[in-house]
Amino acid sequence: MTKGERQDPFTTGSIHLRHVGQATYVISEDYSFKTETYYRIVSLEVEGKTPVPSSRETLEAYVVPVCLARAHGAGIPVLPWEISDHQVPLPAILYGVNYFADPSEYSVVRDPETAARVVRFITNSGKYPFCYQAIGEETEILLVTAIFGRTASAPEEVVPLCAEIYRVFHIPLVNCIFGRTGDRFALSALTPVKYSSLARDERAILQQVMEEECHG
Amino acid sequence: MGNLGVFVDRQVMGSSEQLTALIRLRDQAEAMGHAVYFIFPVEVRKVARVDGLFIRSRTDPLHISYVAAKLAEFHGIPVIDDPVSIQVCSDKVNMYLHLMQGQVRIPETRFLSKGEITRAGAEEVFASLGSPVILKEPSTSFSLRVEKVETVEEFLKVAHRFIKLSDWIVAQQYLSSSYDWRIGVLDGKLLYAAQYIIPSETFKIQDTVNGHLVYCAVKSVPAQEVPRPVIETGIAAARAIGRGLYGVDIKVCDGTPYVIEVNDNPSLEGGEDESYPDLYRRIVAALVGEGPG
Repeated sequence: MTKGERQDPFTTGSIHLRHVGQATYVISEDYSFKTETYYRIVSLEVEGKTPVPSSRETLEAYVVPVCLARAHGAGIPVLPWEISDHQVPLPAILYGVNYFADPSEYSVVRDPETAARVVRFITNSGKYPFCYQAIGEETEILLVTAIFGRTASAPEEVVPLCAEIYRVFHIPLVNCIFGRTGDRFALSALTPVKYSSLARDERAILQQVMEEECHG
Repeated sequence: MGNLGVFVDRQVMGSSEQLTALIRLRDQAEAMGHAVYFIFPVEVRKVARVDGLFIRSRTDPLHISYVAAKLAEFHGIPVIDDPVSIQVCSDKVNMYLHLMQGQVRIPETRFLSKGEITRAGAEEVFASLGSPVILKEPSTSFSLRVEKVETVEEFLKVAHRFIKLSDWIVAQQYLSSSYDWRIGVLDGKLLYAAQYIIPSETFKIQDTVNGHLVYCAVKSVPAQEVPRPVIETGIAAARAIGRGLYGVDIKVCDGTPYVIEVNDNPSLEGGEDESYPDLYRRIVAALVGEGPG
């Protein structure tokens, strides 16, 4: 590091707290259940403080069917979803719904053999159900990083959706997975973001929001 | 007349004891004039069509039962277990934090993060909590991932295993007893009381010993025979979590009750209702009202 150059505060695993009014904004890579970040949030809540996001919001964001039901209720377009224990229409996006599931680990399946293999894996050989989202043959998957609802280089149709997703879930740093069919975008899931995956302009947004007002 | 949904899974329906309990619940609800529908995970969207939802399935925020609870919440449908109860009770760190905040007496408890799972950290825990120490992975249920450790080596071995599943784990003072009280609480009021008599081969109410599952014996105890401080402690613990249905486990040591844990989705199939014939009626009434009867 040269003289005058600031050290990057967003090192792997780092958690940043910013107090704005009554709220404590918690900026982290991963808000998953039982992570250090999750427990920091729970501790703040039990102390009577108001963390952003709340622990309830983190669960609503990362449990895929709950996320989509909540987003749909708020008027955000979502991919149609169902729960199954073995059958799945093709093509589809698949997510596990169980203790070991990670929404980052989704699978797009387009043929029966792949579908059967993925289903066997994400259900632990039929032990758990899973969530599928039927998509069209022409549907593409798009991952957009939202920083307090802001984006750096997303298609313009997605920009207001990311702002709305932040308004609903209040996750400061989140990857939004969309299904894109023509010029229509529908939310598929919300997933954690690694600081190391942030592009320079995304990192600049995060730094700016942290330094300014945390309101997004 | 209301429509009561009962969310179940294959595991529940595969147990004759649990199935019998569900049939008794259904019979009671129908006697009160309500219809009962069993809802399986693949039918979770049907939750939106019922007037009240009773979840009888393993609960965890990452399981489909939580999806059912949240869908009920989103549709304004009364639900046992509600999402907050699942979130708090399925995570022993969160649960103990709520009990501490509610000033409910629990064994001496420490939360340990990854950096504290060291030889020095273990020695410090033994120094403060005594020996043996109980280690718990926060998502444990049915006494799985609850272990008693007596040496630093045992501590490190178990703690390293648990910390892979959670960034915080629980270390707790060991309290010995031949039975636990199980105080059932619904909407902040006593629902039932029972003794869970711990098998002699273990310190847990359920365990695997030499490859065999051993369970506690259940003895339903009329309310008037339960020490008043035990009932009061059970109710205080339940109220520290919420207003749903809970089974509070309590050990009495030197005359003082200590809450070991608060269970959402408590077992009802062990004969807990033997001294409480209106147990199912009260659960149904809490979800869909008394009905025309």
